[in-house]
Amino acid sequence: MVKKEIELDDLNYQLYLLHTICKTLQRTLDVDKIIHVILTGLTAGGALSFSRAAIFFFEKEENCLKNGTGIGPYDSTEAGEIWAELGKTGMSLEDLFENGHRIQLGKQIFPQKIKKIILKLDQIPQNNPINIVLKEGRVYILKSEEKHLLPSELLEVFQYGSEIIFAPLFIKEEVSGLVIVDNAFHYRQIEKTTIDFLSLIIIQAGLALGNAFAYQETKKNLEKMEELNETLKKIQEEMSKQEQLVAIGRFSTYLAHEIRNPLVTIAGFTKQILGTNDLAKIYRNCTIINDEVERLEARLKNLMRFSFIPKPQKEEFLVYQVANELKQLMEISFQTRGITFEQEIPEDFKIYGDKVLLREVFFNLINNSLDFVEKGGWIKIKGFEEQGYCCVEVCDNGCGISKENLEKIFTPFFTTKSQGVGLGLSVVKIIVEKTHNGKVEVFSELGKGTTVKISIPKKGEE
Amino acid sequence: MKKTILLIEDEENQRILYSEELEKEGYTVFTASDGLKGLKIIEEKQIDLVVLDIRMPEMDGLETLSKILGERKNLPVIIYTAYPHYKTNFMSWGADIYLVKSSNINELKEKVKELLGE
Repeated sequence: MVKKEIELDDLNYQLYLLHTICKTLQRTLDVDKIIHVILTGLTAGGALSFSRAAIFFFEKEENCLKNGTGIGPYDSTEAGEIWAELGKTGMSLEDLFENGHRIQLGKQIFPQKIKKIILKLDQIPQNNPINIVLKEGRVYILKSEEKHLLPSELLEVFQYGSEIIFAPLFIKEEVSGLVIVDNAFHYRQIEKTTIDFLSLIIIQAGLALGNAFAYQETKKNLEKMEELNETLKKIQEEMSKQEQLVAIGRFSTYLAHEIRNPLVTIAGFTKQILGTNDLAKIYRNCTIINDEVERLEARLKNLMRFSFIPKPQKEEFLVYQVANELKQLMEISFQTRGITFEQEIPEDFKIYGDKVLLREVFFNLINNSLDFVEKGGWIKIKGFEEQGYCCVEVCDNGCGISKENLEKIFTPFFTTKSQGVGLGLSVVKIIVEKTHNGKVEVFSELGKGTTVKISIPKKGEE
Repeated sequence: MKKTILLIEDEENQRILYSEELEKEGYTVFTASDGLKGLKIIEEKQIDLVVLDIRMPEMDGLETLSKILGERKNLPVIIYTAYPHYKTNFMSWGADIYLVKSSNINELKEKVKELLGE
């Protein structure tokens, strides 16, 4: 009767242990902590009461067991010390699970020896208990008389027990490691129920470790992605720096040609004036100098235009009328180049925006098309409404823009024209996007033509 | 006999300026406003030296230079341009001198003299 009560007490404690282990494992994704909880659970006094517990992980590529962690005393002297120290701390099982990995008991000989062990599986006979456990995925109880089967490094640390249990660690349905426990120092026979509990705890361990490894893997991937992201950011910054340099280069090219030329001319003619009394020549030179100064001024204005776009004065205006004005203004260009200009704008189609600025936008777009359309070609301007926007499209059947250039056309000072400055489309972008909160889109196909679409928000939706 | 210079330059005022200045030095100066016209003059006249701008409509300076070198390999050419940028790879072009335009026209005159061996 008394024996039965003791057995019931043991069972109760084992259930409590299992419950506490499960509860702790559910709360953590830290691999070290999980291992610590498992090993502590296996060795905690009063329940399963194994003397020592060790866990090794299977490395597929190297076909070996390594990265071992162990808990427990190395020999009987240390066993006495550890158990005494543990008694003094007065830690509960929960405390031991939560904080046990922060305290080091005894001389740590056993854990250190376990840590160093590497078991090369191809050097161990196939019918050896270790290979049997890993291959068949079942528990193996090694009796004293079979100890000679142990690889020497294991025998050295597990020499004292009368029974040593080898249990497979399953992670995601694959044998991923080996748990070893023994009954050294107290030599109590290991009960079948204890082995069942051991198996249950190891199943919990496998589940928890599976989650933890998956979490680690995800975290690693995330870190890698963050690293990649960082690199990408750096590359982008570098590229935008490069682009700025290219823009500065273009700007200096612009200055060289558009500013240096008139300056050199002015200087030359001025020097001629200084060296002559010929009034006719002086008059002619002054006229040329005046022309060049005016040219310089116009270029400067053009540059200023780019850096300073006035605040828009918005009103509703008829796009049809503006297009007509432009048609008249540019008629000579169309005629001399043999290009047809067509309008497809409803007479009552209105845009809410700055008429003067948007006229400049349309002018720049038509003017651009003029340079790319061949004799006999056409340029069309269309007006229509689309999802809260008033849109104007300038289309042509010119040579089109290459994919490579399409990315650059809005960059200031980018031009493919021999006489162009490269500011037209930059000004278009600023006027449409910055001052009208609109959109500029370009669709182009080499050899077929280009369409530039301007979308300005409708009145009340800007 | 007077040496002849061909000045290929798209800006009219600069054509006037440089031709007058070179004529003052005793040269006969022909002018062309682009590369195509310049090449035609080289074919028709006995030219001793070319002063060539780079950025021009129709045929730019570089294309013109390659054509000149194809036709008359030994004809001295001075590239005379507002761009300092191209100087770094100018050596590969085969022109004799690369000169950046400045208010000091004497630089041009000196280079012309040097190339004509005077």
